[in-house]
Amino acid sequence: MNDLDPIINVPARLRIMAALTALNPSSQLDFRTLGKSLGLTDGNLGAHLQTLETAGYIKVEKSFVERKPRTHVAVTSKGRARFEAHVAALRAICRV
Amino acid sequence: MEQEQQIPITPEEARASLAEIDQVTLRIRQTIAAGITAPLLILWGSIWMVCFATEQYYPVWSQKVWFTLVAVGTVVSMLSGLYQSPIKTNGASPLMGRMGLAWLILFAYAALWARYLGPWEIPHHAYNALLNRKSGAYTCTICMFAYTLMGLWLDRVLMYLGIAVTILTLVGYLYAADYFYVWMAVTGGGALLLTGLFIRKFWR
Repeated sequence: MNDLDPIINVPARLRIMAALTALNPSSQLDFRTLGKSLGLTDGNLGAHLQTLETAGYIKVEKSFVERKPRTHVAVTSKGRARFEAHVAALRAICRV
Repeated sequence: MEQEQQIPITPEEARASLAEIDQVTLRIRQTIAAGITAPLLILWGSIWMVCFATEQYYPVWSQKVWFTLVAVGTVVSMLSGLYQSPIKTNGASPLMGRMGLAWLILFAYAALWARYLGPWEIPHHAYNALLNRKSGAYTCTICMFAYTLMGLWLDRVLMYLGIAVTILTLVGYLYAADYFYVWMAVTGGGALLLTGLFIRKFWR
């Protein structure tokens, strides 16, 4: 039985998790930068982020920088662990 | 439970997913580097070009120009780090420990390099020109060593840039003689500027 995570095993969410886990554990990425670098629209990105946040894989933080709203996204330790398990499962399948 | 169900996936699909992860990891690092690094390289490349050109052609003005532009560059760099960075870091970052180590290595390099690039005692008749050239080359190579260190942890392009400009600086110091500053304006400043423009165009 493989250990693939059904929440992560969706192309857009896999890419979001890959992008966020590429950062340091204490770092958060700007929403716009994330969407731009993954080629996702704001609506599409927002929907996937909500699914990941509900699962406890990421946390979304809204703040104001120079009176302008900014949203930052970070992966949680649970999300990082699930993503690493997902990647390990993908590697195991490749070895089959 | 949804998570306990087996997901049917072929080895080819798994390989494609892993390739996608590698591609996204590279892309996000490049996007972040483009957001932070490119504007700073363009800024410091321009500052080097103006300051070295002034040093070559209007040496009377060079001190004031260097002082003013380096001060402006430092303030702009700090502000852009605070407000333009796409990354926000909470609490102690693992990068902080690396930064401390990097500063130590940089100081050790600066001390060793000062010893190697010496002696600083120069015959009186050649004193000003040679000492200025020497300290110019020294400062540039220290800055480029910092870029090389940053490149080891952030992005390899900075490492290659640091090594290339160090070599160009030493070539200019040894062979350009009276045209050293214009050499540095074109090669040193130009390399920083072009790398910044390259990152801005292709990594965003």
